[in-house]
Amino acid sequence: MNKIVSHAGLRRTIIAAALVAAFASARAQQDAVVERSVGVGAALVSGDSADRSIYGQYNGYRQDRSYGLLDVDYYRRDDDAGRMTSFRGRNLLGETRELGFIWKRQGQWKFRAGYDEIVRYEPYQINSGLLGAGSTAPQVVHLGAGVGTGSTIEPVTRRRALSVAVTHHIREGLQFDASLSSENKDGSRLFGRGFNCPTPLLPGCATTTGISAGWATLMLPEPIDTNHTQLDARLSHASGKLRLSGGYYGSFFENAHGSINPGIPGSLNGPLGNPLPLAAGLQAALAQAVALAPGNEAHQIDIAGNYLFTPTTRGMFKLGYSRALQNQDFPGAGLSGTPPGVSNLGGSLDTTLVQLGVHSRPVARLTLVADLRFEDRDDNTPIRYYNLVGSDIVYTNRNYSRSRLRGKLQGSYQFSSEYRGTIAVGHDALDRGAFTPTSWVRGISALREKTDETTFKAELRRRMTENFSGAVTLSTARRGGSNWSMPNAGPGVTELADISGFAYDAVFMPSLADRKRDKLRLSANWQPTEALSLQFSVDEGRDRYELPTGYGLNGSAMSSYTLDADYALDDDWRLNAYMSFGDQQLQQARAAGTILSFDNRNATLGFGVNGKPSSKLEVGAVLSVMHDRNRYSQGLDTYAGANSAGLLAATGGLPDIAFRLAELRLYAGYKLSANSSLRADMVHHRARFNDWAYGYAGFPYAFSDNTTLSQQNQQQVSFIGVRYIYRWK
Amino acid sequence: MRIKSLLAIGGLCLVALCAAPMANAASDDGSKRCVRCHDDDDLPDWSKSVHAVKADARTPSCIACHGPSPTHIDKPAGVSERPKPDRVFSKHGGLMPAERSEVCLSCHDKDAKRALWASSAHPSADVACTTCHKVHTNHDRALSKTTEAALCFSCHKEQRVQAMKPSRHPIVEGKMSCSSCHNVHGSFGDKLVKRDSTNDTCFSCHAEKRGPFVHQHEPVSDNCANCHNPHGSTIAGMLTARPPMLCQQCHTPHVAGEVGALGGQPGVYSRANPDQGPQIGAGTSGKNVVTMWQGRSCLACHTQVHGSNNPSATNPTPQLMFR
Repeated sequence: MNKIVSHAGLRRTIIAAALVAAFASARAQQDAVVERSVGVGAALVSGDSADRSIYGQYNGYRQDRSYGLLDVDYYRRDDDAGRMTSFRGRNLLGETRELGFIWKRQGQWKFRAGYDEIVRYEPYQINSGLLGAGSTAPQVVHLGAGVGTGSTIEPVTRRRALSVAVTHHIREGLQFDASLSSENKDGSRLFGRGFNCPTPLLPGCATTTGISAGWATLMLPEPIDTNHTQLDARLSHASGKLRLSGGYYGSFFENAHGSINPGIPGSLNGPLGNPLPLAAGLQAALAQAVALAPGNEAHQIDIAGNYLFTPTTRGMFKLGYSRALQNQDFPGAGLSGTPPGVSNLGGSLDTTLVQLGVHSRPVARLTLVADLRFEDRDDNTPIRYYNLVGSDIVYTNRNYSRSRLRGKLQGSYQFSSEYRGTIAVGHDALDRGAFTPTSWVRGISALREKTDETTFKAELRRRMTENFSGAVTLSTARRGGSNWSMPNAGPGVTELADISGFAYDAVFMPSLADRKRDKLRLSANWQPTEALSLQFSVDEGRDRYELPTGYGLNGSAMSSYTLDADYALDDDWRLNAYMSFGDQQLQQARAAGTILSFDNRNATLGFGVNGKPSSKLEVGAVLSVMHDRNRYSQGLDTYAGANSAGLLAATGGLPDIAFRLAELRLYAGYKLSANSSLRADMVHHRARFNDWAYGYAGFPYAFSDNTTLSQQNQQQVSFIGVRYIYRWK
Repeated sequence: MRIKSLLAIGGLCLVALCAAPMANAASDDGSKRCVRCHDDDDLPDWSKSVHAVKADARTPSCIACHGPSPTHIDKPAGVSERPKPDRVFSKHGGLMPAERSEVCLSCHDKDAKRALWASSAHPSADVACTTCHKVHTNHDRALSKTTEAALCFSCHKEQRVQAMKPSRHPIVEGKMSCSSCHNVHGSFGDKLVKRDSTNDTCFSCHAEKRGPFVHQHEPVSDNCANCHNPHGSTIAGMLTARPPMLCQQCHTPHVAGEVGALGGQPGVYSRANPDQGPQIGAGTSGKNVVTMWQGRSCLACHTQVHGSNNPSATNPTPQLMFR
């Protein structure tokens, strides 16, 4: 594992180098332009970690009250030689520091190097008795004193990436580009483990009773310690009518952790939250190794380009071949119980891609575009008996070979200088291949080998005047496919020509089902005066799925309405504002259960102003407000029983989930002198979020060891940062 | 792979490359007459722009982009208003978007990343190069991670809203931008994603999801967007719908109780009416209404939703994404 990017010494070295680069005297050269700047300052942030769980998710301002601010810039340009050197450092004292270095002679070569940090703090705080949280051997400890009596765990994930890139113009029309990046990612994120007895998957594990617990759910943070290295190289040629490039992409992913092996106590909560001894078989089941993401790699080579057949006709193509490999050693990852003689998966996926296209303007007013894409994925992963059900059903993993053919034909005609019409037709055919006869599925009612979809699109654009333009676009798509296949009681599936062979409560997947999709888009841009411009857009879309039983996702719909305005008061002041209203709906049904109608409504407002009150002062403000509401409406299916009806009546259904955000951002920049300035930034952030995933009405959701998660419903944060910036040449 | 060694090798290669002869400075005859009027006071400082590098023989002069414009340079007698240059790149310049882009492409179509511009979605929607890029500036908003997204949001309103939601990528913080995932100039991938497919693009940062795995979850290997909205969501994990709703779109449900309900609601842990006991009792299975709709929901047990590499043939085996 490459740890170089995570070494603290390296970070200090990088910061020192940044300062040296900024402060070092430039070698005097005639006609060289040198500019340097350093910005130093401090920031204060109100509230605590819980107040900042949404605001501080990515900006590194989650934990402390005060922060140092340091930015550096170095720029040197030699106009006669055409050389440029620049160095840039941002937020060097924070958790999201960035460094970028460019050295180039434009038209000849370019060298870039960079260092980038991204941090993500999990918005939820965990209260738990867990020992070794974020390790590969966490020890579950039941909180006997009750929920909220454990320690606070705040999972955080950090990415640190080092990259270099080089471009060389070998000669006119021949260029070489290469880049290498290596990113370390470490920390932890939400993860878990759970099991329910009895089950045919574990003969002998006992059910839950009043005196023993036969199931458990646990919160176990996933430990992260990975490296992802990517190499990209491309040679591009351009001469005359031909543009041709050949490239290689390599991706290498390594994970220092192969599995989690939790320690499980002998007692955990029963269904009513009281600690009970675990039922027979459950403790051993929960303690089994949980596989983490395996190391893998992918390689792709391709040739792509285009050729100008005539001044008005261009052909485009891409031929690509890629191979994805995964051969993590199972024992080395702490994973046992493999089929005899098997030490790794031997995973191998080969993908061949052929893409052809033509863009032509046979006559001045007519433009034709045609695209054809064929992708063949060949799964060469060995098929082995990895699976056992009970004591006598064995089956293998599956082969996921598939092929896909997509084509599009589009024509646009410029009727006049104002009107342009476009029609397009596309087709997408996906063949998932035959189901592996020695494999087995559960929890799925129906599969389908082939689907195909045809899309029609029509658009009319009108450029009514220089100040007003608009477009209306209609598209409709119809998807169908081959016969449905029903999983067998044992391995394999059986294709059924007659849908009546399926159970009355079978679920048909939205990714496979016949579908009708319709979309409408209207947009208009109007500039009534030189200073004022308005934009208006409407989007409406609807998906309807044809489900033989009516169970599953029946349909979805979306609509969006936006209005934007931009107004220049004068040369120095500008206003902008927008309103946006959106609605997304899903309708799905469960047999003998609910008909669920999900509705997400969103209203967003924004207002901004920026200007220059004087030659020395520049100010700006942005106000953003969002109201987002998720509504889960439930009705009862025809086959729903009295228990369902009684529960729905008692609860009143699932509560709405509302997210509200209001954020005000202010900035001001004041020029103190020719070389120095001050910059102040202020943010006031308010959020309200009543997601009931981990608690409702004061009733926390408790995992079986009394671990709970929480996120403060109302959050309020103020940030103020001031920088002194000194520039010199 | 040892980064230090690679950096050293890269540095040595760079020294070798630097030995190449310097290009001659380009002739600037095409700009001399223009800058008599359009001097430093008229235009913003764009000295740092790549279009201002005189030593690069490829650098265009004013008339290379704006045309010879003889009547603009020498206003004809008897004309009250000076005619515009031959090519003006604003909305009011008289050029169609495709004509504006052709000027830029006369140089930039040699770049492999712009090879697919002509047939891509943006020119079809009358987006020209100058719709997003500004040439006469040192700070082109399209070229900086911190300002690029706001530019894209001027047309892509839905994504503007999604980027404000609590479960999202770090676009607002300037750590990622639209071009982190999309090649706006044209791509062979869906929705202008940078690589050949949505999944390949996601794997460039989330390689741990690539697999292949012993136990695959087919919608994962089909398309990450089957379950995720990468632009933002109010549901953790940027999901399009929360479990169990999302999962039950494909999978048969297995919940006693059948309607969605939460701990803390009447009837769940308490008796809500004389004819029906509470939903959760001493002998209630783990597949109950509370564990299905709260906590990690289906993922509490089916933890390996992206696929599991666990080969164990020992009961309970990891099929069904248990471990």
